[in-house]
Amino acid sequence: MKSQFDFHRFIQLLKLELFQSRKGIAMILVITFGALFFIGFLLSLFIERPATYDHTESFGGALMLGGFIVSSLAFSGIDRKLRRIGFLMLPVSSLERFICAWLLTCIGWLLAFSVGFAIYVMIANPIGQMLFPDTAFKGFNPFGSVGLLTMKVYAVLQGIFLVGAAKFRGYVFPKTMVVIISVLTVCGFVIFFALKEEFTSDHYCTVTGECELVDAFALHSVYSVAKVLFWYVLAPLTWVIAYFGLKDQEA
Amino acid sequence: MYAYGSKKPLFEELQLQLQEGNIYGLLGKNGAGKSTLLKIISGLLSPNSGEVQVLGYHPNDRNPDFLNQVFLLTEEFDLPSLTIEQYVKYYGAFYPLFEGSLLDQYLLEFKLTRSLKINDLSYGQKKKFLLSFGLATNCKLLILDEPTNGLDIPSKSLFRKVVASAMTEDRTFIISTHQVRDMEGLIDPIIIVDEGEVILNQSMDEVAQKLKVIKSSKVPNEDVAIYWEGNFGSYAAVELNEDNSETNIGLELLFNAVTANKERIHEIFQQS
Repeated sequence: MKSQFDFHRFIQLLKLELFQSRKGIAMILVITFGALFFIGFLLSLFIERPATYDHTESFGGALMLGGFIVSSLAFSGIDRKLRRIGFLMLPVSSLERFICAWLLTCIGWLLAFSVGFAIYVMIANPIGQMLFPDTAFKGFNPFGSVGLLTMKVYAVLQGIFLVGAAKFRGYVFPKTMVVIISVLTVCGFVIFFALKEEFTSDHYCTVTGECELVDAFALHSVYSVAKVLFWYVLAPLTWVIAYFGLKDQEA
Repeated sequence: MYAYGSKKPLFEELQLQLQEGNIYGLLGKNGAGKSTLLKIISGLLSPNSGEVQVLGYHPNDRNPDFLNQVFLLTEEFDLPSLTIEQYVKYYGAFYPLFEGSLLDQYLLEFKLTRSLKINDLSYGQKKKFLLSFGLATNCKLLILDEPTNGLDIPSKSLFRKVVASAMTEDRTFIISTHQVRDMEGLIDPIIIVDEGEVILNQSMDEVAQKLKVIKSSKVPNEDVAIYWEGNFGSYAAVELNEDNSETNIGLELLFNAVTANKERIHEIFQQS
């Protein structure tokens, strides 16, 4: 087991990856917050006043987009011919490499982005207030209930981009997006045609015996299955696929 | 056996055993399969069939305990944007036997300092740094692919000195090159590969016992000479050493003789 996971070696790998990606992560954070500020500024020019601006959507959007790009770069050393040799000859196991990538792109990104976002809100709100006095800029706590839910969604979906990073060589982010869109389209069609009958005939009945057609998606039994699959199956499944994909690439 | 896609398979029926305590010279023309063999040994390529064992491990398992005993210096490389000091701090930690003082010794020999940025170094200086780092890892197996390419003449002799001084009985060095003159006096035994097969794997002593070189101003007798070459009216011929004479057959001449006359050389070394 020690040959597969050695704590000392793992910490060294973590230090190395953190050190090497420090500039890249800082750049992504600066670009993300710069873009958020710029887009917020543009939107403020066109919205009707008085208005209220809250950061919930920008937090979610930027966290996901930035994190998916960072995750797509997780194993970038494996897809370039010359860098690949150094990558493969480094005395670490695939397991250590995978856990390290997951820690940095999932937990690391969540923490770095959330702290960065909290600082961004503290800076952006007074500036926005100064520029647009008739707009109320609401504070945002990334570690509040909405923020935490967004983080949970990111933690689940991020695994898909780790799979992309392990499976594709080059242009990982766009390739992964194409695959996601294609799979979702196919799944959408299949689910629609396979479950059409159930969706249009599913009823709920009261104790008095009165029955009505279920018209809210969340009330269908399929939804509960999908929910379980999303929260408990998708992430571990993508981690396993990403790990074996990485092993395959290294072989 | 290894095959690149649908190309002709390389190293079919290869049986090769390397003993520690030697600096093996892997010689061959461009495209002969030298780099492929090195990649198989270091685990970068997996053979399609057959078994490879290095230091008791299967290289393509990529076991970290194997990888921390092997250092591969390739002909081309991509180094991170770090100073030598930072590189040593972050990469040296992966090699349990890494010795900083040994590295400083080699860096001093090559006139490099830890404060230098790796990306500001010339190609030759990068090679010197990587060689120093590789030797300082105290790895059991050091693999150098075309190490003297890009080195100036004084650096080549310094390279030979440094490599020879780092050799110990429990280490194995494999140096692949097609610049055979640079390796004269350093590599022994010699492995020559051609068209994906090992056509010679002998120590220089064994070579000297079987072959001799005759220099003359006359064109050598083709019935006796296994191989000969002329240069401005003087000729060097490789012949069977039937009278046990002590001659020094240079690497370049040996390489040319072996690649030009594979079957004959194979027969000679088969007779023990």
